[in-house]
This record gives sequence, C-alpha cells and structure tokens, in this order.
Amino acid sequence: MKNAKVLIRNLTKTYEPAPLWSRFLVRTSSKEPIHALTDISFDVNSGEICVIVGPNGAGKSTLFRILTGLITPTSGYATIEGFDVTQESFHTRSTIGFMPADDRSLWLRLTCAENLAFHGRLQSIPEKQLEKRIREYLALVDLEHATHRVGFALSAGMRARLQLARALIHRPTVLILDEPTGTIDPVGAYQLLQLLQKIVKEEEIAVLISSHRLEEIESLDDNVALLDKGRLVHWGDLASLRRIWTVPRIDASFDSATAAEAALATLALSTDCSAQQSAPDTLTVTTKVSVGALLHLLHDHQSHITSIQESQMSLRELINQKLQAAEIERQETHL
Amino acid sequence: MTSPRIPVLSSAHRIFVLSRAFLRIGIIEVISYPMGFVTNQLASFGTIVLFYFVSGFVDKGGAFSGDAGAKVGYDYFTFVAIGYASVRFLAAGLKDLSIQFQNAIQAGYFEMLLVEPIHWHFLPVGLVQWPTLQAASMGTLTFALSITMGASYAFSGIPSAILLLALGVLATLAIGILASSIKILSKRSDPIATIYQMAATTFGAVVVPVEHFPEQVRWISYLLPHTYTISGLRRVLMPQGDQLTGPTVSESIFALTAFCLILYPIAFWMFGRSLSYARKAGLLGGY
Repeated sequence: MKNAKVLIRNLTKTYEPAPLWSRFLVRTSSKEPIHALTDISFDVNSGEICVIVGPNGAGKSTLFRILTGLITPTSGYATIEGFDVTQESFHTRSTIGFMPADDRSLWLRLTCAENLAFHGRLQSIPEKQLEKRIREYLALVDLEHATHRVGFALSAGMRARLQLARALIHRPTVLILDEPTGTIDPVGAYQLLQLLQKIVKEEEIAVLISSHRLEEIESLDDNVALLDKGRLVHWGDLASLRRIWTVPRIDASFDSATAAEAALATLALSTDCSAQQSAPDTLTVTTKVSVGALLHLLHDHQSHITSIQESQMSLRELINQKLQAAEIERQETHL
Repeated sequence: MTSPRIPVLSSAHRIFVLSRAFLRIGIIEVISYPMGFVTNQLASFGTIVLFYFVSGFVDKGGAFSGDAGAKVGYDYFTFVAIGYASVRFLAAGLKDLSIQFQNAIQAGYFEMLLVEPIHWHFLPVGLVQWPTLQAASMGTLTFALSITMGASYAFSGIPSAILLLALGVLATLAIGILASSIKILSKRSDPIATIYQMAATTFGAVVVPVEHFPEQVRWISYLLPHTYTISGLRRVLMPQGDQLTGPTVSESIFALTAFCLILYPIAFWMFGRSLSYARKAGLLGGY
C-alpha cells in the first residue's frame, strides 16, 4: 500500500465576519460567515498528481493556504508526511514545495540565482551544495541562460519556471502548485506540465495542483478533486468521473433535412435515447445504447444516413453536469 | 513518520545562516536602487548641516549661556549632533522595520516568507538586520561629519556609547516588533510606530534637554527609550557631559535594560497573537 503523503480529513473552514475593531484596521466586506470549505477528505500518495478543480470561490486557495500553514481550519485536520499542518506547521513547511499563483512572491530585483540562493538558505541547504543545486534546478527548468537575470526582466513563463525551481530546489516530498500555468501561454504551460510529470515520476513526490485549464487537467490524467462552493463533489480519477457521468453522444448526418426530421420523429418514440436537430441535416443523439442498437432503431431511415460518429462528452460539459447535479442535490437537502 | 529536515543544521549555525541570508537580501535591495540610496543618505546629512547653522544662531543669541548652557554642556552643536545621530541609530528598529514589513506585504513576498521553514518570530529580527547595519553606519558617519564641523567628543566614552546604542536599538526594536504585530493585521497603518515616533521626536531630548519641557509633560520623555539612549550618550561623549542634567549613564543603562526585559515578552506575545488571529481570519499574505 502506498504512503499517504497528504492526508485531509473532514477539513472545514468558515470565515467569520470581521469584528468591528478589526474593520478599523483594514476595510473588509464580509458581514456573513463564509463557508469556504466543508468536510473535505481525501489523500494524495507518493508519485500521484491530484488536480484540484473548481470554479472561482470553490475553496481551492483556502485549501492550499491551510496546507501551507497560512490559515487554520475551523475543524478537521490535514497532515503532510504525518505532521499536522496547523500544529506542526514549522515541520510541514520544510517538507513542501509551494508555488503560489502570484509571481510577486519572487524577489523581482534579485537574479534567478539570488532568488534560489535565498530560498535555499532558508531551507537549510548546506552552503557547499547550494551553488551546485542552483545550477542543477535552473537547468531543469531551462533557465540556465537566465541565471544572472533579475526577476523583472523575465517573461511570465520564465517567472513561472523560476517559481517551480524554487519550489523544488530543497527536494520536497510534497509539491503544492496554485494555478502554476495561469500566466503562461499554452505552449509554455504544456512544457511546464510535461516537466512536472517527469519530476513526479522520477522523484516519487506527491503533487497538489489547481488549474482552470481543462486541457491541462485532461493531460495530467490523474486524480481529480472537484470542489464547488467549498464541498468536494468528486474525488477520484477522471475515468471514474467519465464512467459515472458520460452519456455517449452520437452525431448522425442525413442526406436531407426532411430525412433528418423523419428520423427525429422515429427516435422521439424511443425511451432509450434523446435526440435533437443540431443542424438541418444532422441529429445529435444522447443515448446509453450502442451505435448498433441506434442503427437498429433507425432501420427505416438507414438509406438516408450519410455518416455516423460517436463522440465523448467534453470535460467542460462533464464538470458542468457534475456541478449542476451537486447543486440540485444541495438544494434538495436544504428543502 | 519522516523526520523533519530542519535539524540538519545546529541552532546557532542556522541563526547565522538565516541572518546572512536576510542581510544579503537587504544589501541587494539597496544596491538595486543606487540613486535612491545615495539621495536618502545625502538628505539625512543635510539635517546635521542645518543643525550646525541653528546652533550657531542659538549660541550667538545667547540662548544657552549660564544655567541653560550647562544643560547642553556649553556646546549646543555637539549636544544636538549626538541627539540627531542617535535618532539615526534608533530608527532601524522602529521606522525601518516598519518600512521593511510594509514593503514585504505590498510587494507580495511576505506570504512566501511565511511558507518558509523559519520561526515566524525570527522574521522581524531577520528583516531588521540590514536596516540596523545601515543605520549604524549612517549614524557613525553623522558623528564623523559633525566632528569636521566642530563637534567635540570624549573618545574615552566610546565603549559605553556602544553599549548604550546597542541597548537603545534593542529597546526600540521591541517597540518595532510590537508595531509590526498591528501591521500584520492593518497592512498599512502603524499606530504604535507613528505615535512613538511622534513622541520621540518631540519629547525624546533630541534637540533640547528634557528639563526644557514643562513638568506636566516631562513624564512622556521618561517613557521613551530615546531619552535614556540620548541622555546617556551625551553624558559619555560630551567633554562636559558630567555636568548635564537628566538620567545618568547607569540610570540610562538600567532603564534601557528594563525596557528590553519588559517589552520583548510583550512584543513577541503580541506578534504571536496577531499571527494566530491573522491565520484564523485568513488575513496573512493579503495586502
């Protein structure tokens, strides 16, 4: 059995409205309690990537901030390498590599090497190893040529790579990446994720990564934690989500609009599928029956079919459906 | 359970490594803006030139002759130069620490510092190191400049002066840490530092002796580490310092030590409470 590097149990965080005295210190808009996380539980093992997905305000950043010790949970707990992230935050902070969403977390007046050196010293990397380690990790993220370039002079993609190098240089066993590709172009993002997958495979580290980019989530093809309004609505691999939620979709094209309408009328009588005219001569059929069974239903119209194609539901639709179902379930629970 | 990695280095060595890391960051930050650094320092030297002319004016007017003269050691320029140079030293723990905290919060790297495996109580100490070194060198240069302009010092008092300055910097740093605990929550406003700074500038015996203030407000002066540092320094550095009024050297050392012993536990307790509240309310890292 694999070791759970990150263990999250019944984690709940409610932000209470700011007391009156603290509103004098800094402006705040919260007047009602905000339930940022409710009863979240899941594990991440060595060599696994867990993608945290969810719309804005789903609780992704709150989860990461709890894991990095910046926020204390209201109830529940989380451990990293067996250390409680709240009570033993000092220890967990030496175990994790953290890449925040904001590139302002870099010292932009410092060079790439100086940024890594500062972080390396705070992480207790012995001075004798530090220079070698800086060269090694700058090479890993393809920033060797920018070793002595200051942060301000780097592109968004280079800054993201430098942040990744910083998160890795002390050889953490758990990596927490908050929207690491948020500011990078698609090609740069792809390269960064390729690199990440390579590192995870080689170093056997556990990774938590949040992302809005659906193509990234698909390409990582690992565990997904789908958050919505602070609740975990799905936990598991993408394939299991697809198995539960994907209803096969078949696009059938006909030689004329009249033929398509006739076929639509036939399918309307069937309880096994639901069809709609997506173009004058095309029907889109969502069904749990096979293509063969569908062709059997359309037996009288077969001579008019010019093409037939099965397509998978996009991840966007899949997530949307899951979120909608969770919302309905929540409303029903409240009723 | 995997053992934590921190104990790889011994505590003393780790403190040394962390101090050096913060010191390097401070130096790099300063050399990143060379013109800003130079103009800031020149501006501070301008003040001592101003006091040179003010003291000339005051001496000619006879404002500090007779009894009043005894209160400033019959040398107003040296008296005020010590006051001003001391303020430069003491600014490190208070004003400069506050600026460092605000820069870290506003620039965005404060959150990253909090995620590093360092005790959070070390942060103000780490952040204030370069400003302290800078303030010490500027204070020393201010003393040197004042000598070229006619100030006279008893060099035998230098060891005692170093002790007084060290205690003064430590005491004001405690107030700075107290102020930082508010800054963590307020992000910008800094009531403790602002009020203290105002009180120290007015009642800290920088330009006039404490006895010059009305008796009703003199107690404010005696609540300020500035007063004891500056008074003690004047006693040990001015040739006629033994004739000055105000706290003696031993009184100053005792008062500054007492300030440190009382203020540090309160400051670190407040800092810890502030961090705990910020973690609970989700305020850490915001700006």
